[in-house]
Amino acid sequence: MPYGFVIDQTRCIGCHACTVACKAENDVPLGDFRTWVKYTETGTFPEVRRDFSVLRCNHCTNAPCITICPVVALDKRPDGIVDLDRNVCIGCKSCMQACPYDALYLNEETGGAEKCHYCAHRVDQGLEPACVVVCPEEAIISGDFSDPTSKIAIARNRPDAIVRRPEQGTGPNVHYLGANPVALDPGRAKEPDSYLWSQRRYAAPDYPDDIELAPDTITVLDVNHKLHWGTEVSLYLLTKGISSGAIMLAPLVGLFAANPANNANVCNYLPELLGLAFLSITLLLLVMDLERPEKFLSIMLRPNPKSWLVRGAWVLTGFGAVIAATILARLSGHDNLAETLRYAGILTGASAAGYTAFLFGQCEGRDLWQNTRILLPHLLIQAVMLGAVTMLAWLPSEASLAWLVTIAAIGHLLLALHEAHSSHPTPTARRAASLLPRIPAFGSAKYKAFSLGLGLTTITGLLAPTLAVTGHLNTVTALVLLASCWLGTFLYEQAYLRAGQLPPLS
Amino acid sequence: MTTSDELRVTPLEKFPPPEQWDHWEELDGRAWPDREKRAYSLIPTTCFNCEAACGLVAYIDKETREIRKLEGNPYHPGSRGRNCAKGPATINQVHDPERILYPMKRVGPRGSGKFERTTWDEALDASGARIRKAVQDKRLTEVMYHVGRPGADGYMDRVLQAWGVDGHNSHTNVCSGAARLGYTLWSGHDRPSPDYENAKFILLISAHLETGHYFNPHAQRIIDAKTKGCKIATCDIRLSNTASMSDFWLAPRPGTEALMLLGFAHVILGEDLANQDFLRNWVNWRTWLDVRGKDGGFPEFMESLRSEYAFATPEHVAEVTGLTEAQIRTIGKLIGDAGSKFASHVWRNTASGNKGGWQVARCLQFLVTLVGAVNTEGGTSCNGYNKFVAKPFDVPSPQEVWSELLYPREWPLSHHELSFLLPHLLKDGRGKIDTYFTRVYNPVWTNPDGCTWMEVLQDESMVGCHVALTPTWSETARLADYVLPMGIATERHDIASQETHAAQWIAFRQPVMREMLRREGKEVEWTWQANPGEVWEEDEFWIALSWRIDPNGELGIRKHFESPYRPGERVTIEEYYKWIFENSVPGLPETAAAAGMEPLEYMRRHSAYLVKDKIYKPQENELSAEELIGTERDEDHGEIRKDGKLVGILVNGKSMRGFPTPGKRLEIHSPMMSEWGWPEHTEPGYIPSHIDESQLDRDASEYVLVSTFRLPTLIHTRSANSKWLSELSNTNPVWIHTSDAKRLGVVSGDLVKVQTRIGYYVNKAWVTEGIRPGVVACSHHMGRWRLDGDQQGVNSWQCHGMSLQRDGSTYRYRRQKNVGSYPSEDRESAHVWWNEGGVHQNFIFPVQPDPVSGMHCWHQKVTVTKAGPDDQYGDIVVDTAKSMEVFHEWQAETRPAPGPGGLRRPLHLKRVVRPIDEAYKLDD
Repeated sequence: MPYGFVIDQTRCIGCHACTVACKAENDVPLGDFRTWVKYTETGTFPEVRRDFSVLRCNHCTNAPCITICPVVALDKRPDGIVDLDRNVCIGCKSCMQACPYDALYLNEETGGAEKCHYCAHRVDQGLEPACVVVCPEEAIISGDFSDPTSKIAIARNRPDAIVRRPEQGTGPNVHYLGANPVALDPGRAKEPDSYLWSQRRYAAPDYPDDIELAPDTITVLDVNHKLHWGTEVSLYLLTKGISSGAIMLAPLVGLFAANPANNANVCNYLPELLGLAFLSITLLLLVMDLERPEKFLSIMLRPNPKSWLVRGAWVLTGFGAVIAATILARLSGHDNLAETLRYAGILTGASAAGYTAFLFGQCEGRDLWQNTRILLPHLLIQAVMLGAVTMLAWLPSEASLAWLVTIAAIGHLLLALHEAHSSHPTPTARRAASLLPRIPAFGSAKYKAFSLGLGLTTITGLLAPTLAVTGHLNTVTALVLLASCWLGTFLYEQAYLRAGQLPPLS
Repeated sequence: MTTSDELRVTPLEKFPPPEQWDHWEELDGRAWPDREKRAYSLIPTTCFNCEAACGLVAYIDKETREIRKLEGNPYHPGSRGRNCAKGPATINQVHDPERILYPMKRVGPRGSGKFERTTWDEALDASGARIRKAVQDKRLTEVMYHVGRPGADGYMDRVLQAWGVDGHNSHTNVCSGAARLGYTLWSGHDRPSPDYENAKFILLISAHLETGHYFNPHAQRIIDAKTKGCKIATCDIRLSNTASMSDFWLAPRPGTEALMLLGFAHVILGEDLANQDFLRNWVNWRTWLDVRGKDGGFPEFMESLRSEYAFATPEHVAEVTGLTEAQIRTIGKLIGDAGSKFASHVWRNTASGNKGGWQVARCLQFLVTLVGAVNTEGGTSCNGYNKFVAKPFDVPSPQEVWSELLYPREWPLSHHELSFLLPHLLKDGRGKIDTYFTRVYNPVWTNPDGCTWMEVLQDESMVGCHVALTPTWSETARLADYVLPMGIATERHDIASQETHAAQWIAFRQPVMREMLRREGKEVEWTWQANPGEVWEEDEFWIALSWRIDPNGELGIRKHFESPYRPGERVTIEEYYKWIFENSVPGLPETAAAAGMEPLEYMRRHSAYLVKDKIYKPQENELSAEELIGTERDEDHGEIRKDGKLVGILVNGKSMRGFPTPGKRLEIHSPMMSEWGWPEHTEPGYIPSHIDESQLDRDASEYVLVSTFRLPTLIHTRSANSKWLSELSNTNPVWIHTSDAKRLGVVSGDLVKVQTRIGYYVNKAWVTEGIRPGVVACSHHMGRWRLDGDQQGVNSWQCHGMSLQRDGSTYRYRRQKNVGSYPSEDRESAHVWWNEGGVHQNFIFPVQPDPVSGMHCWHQKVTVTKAGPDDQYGDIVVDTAKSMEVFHEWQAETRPAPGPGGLRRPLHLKRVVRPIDEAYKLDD
């Protein structure tokens, strides 16, 4: 017996009563909304109209937020309500990336995610949600879709009933009657810097002029959503790349032991020590990015096995275990075992580097990140680039490492350009991709993170063999290369993360 | 995880079952998914944000003794359990961290912004002594009560008449005054009451799907009609939410709306769609023919009518209004086809914007009359039939004096007090005020020319003592001597009745904490004892004050405030309402008895009562046999007279009551207009506005500024105490059409300077297709301020800090502090994410009183330019010397009393708190 809503936009007058009643019922913080009304204007004078769209959680049949939630804080009740247990939520904000409708927000005070829960506390007492009761126009219909005689089931069967973004395959259970499809399709309207009677909370995306928009269509009132993944996640991608890259290249480093110019201990331990150190930083960053870091163990203690956050945790655990085993084998004199484990490390390293592609794939709200076929090799190549350039600082005489940096940096460049300029399958991805080159670096409009970042990695890639061939590669120059490559990768990730999150979903 | 054994799968209910309202246990949404149940007492009351008086139910937590939330009241016939955003937002107003909890008294000079706490005793004694002295000295026009939002029916009329003063002032002439004249001229009723839900075609010259009297109840019924197939046309210069929801959006050149309506009339007459039976029976066509020296009977009237309006051809109307001929023909035909099911309303909008705006209402009612939709099912009723004002236990005799500050002789036909001219009249020496009460009234901000208000309110020779009765600080309260906190929706008693549909109802507002205590057997003497802090309710304040004015009854005032149940004792507020419910509301005692309750108890439990439903064609009510005794029938004129006085009219052989006009018929020709100096306006017509296209120099970048439109989320200056409403609406940019913006070289967000004759403001531009080119618009609520040095002031959710530099009559305001987070008991005040708050535009408007109706004509001719390098967002500059000049120019256009009989005002016109007839005589 699935509950859902039918919102009759032929009756809704855009009065915001639902918005405020919801705030009162559920104590929703300032700036955040479980339901809100978007106004979209279309046309030119005098043939112009304003459409209202009441937006909220769709209580999806296949809810991506439930899939990605690592600790089963989100779940679908037998009555169809997608509910969130604030006591369990660890504040990882992945649900906000997974939801294609921008239905969740972070309660800054509690550090937990929140969303429309269909007033489950009222439903359990036989009462309709607060928004339904207050609506002057009875434009919000609640009820049980499975009862064919119910008002809601009859309404849903009207020919003008549509859902938001059906292509997402989430099976939304909020149906709109008589809605302007453009108003429900995010991003097709022009986004102004301020609205007709309120400010924006967050700046509008800075699209290029040739962005594909519906003609004469502008969003004139809306609420904005915070970008939740930023610096911590960029750093996590960087440090995880270094760590996994070092381990993936460990067998190669083992071969360098034959070169008398190299310190044998470096060849024996460097990849593992780098791997372990940067894995530790990675894990620390992951915990730091949680709004409730004290609850990080929940990922292991009440895991949702479908979540790539959980699978990632398992991958990183296995990855760390192999590194530890390798070191132990080496210390205990079992060099052959250590070398064998290094070959196993290629697999675990690749897993550690690449699982993020699947995690991002679960972020159904971020169309730019859905390109797993490109993202997976891209992460592996980045890891190789980062591992090689990092180890070069200790092994400056190894030209092969320098050439690896070159190859990987060029691969990174090509794949990054592909992300920015190839034709993406969805309009949201195309909008995000158009933003990729426009994200400022260091908050300055003058420098763009994408071009600066790629410039740095590319120059690193070109300089490394040049220095090697000309005999100028030493610890100092290698450290400069390392810094340039790290910074370049970080900036690229910043652009990629921001661009992916910027296009509005609602 | 959260699945419960209690999970209900049955159809969901909207409200807790009423039998459990005394003790209702509910899971707390804030604790979810923890299943924390809390026990509430559910007590119904009435919203006090807009005038609609919708029902609310307060959920009072029995443990914390706090109001948790407010939902709709299913018993309320107007709002039917539903609310707009402002209903649930009442909870913010209850918990407003900056609300005034104790009586305050000014420190230092008036207007210096500093106050200290005082006692109610002192405030009551001080104002009581002043009024006592004024009454003893027979200075009966020097006590004034100036109300913004009454929220109640009739309470104050009684109080002021008990004191014998002529001192009721209102806000009508910055709001609905013009339309009231237009409607009154037809029927003697000053507003329409459309039966939207049964209409076939609705024409709105209003924004009833987002604002207006009465937003939520009317919006419900308009949309119900739409769903049933009714077509809707909305006339508004800017794209309103209402226009967006309509089948037709009409955006004519501002000021030409009356002509547009006459164009529709032309179509109706031309296509023979007029309801001739109705016109023959109910319109004073005989007078129409008489004044033209014709006597050919009704057919000649129809002929004459067609020829009088022959000029309003669709071609001509299209040319003047900027609409298309097709629009004129289509809408005219739809009105004609709808016939008696044509519902319409003009509320504020063009009637309040333009010189001659009263003719808009008159032309609209002309259409209603033409198609015979007056008082019909699905038509447009006169408001008087759909409103029920209950009589109190004691009605004092009317006052014997007339205040020229309220009804100055220049505007004998005004509806009503020339409230917004008060400072100008005072400055011109037309009177003075000893004791001035402002109640839920913020003229400094709301009225045009607020700087002149500041000058006068600061001058103790013009206003001896200013007592502000208000729940919140305001730009006006800072100019008071006493600021006395008064309760909001959940903290006071009132009865309200509004004409929301073809019925009559009353709604009872009650202090919910006091009512909960009573139910627990803990009665209090005064409402403030149950309210937060020392927040009083006005009803009790006036009783207490009247006893202080006349403590031993020697002035004859006290007796009006003595209990009808306990002779000689002070009447309690409960007794006041108990008497009304027991004696003045037909059917209520019986309904209550059937429910096993006393009438007062019934109202405490339900808070609303439907007095009468489905009221149609009341003008056809027949005179009783008793009333007909001694009457004479004049068959020729269809009139029934008694002792020469008209008491009814003959329609199809029946003796009917008719309308409250001098001739008891609808007046297409108003003899009063010529008798009172306006012979050119005896019939519905079109008066070119003060902002007519011919008045604008487009090359000098002159535009029409439409400044009156409201938002669905705010109510004047009374909602700054809601954080949720403030976060939804926090700017008021200047709407400019794309083509005009191009000409001005601005894009959205650029600063523009908007200049009137008395000053300018600097605000951001909002470039839009949703407005007629050549017109700019700015919404009405935003730009609230405190001045540097003010210790307290307007709620911080919307308030910014301003500096003021005064140089003679020139005032220069500059924004010094943005809206932003602030420390308070509400932890959320640290999370205010918006910082603009808008620009106070009414400051720069000179007063423009319509020469006939007295209504302030809100539309302004403005010069719009791109702001210069020295201009900052929020700058305001005003010269009050110039505003007096403009006032005198408009004043010179009036045609003052006396009218026939040496009167100040026609006796048959409504006058708020009407004095004795003798007072109408203009002696000097």
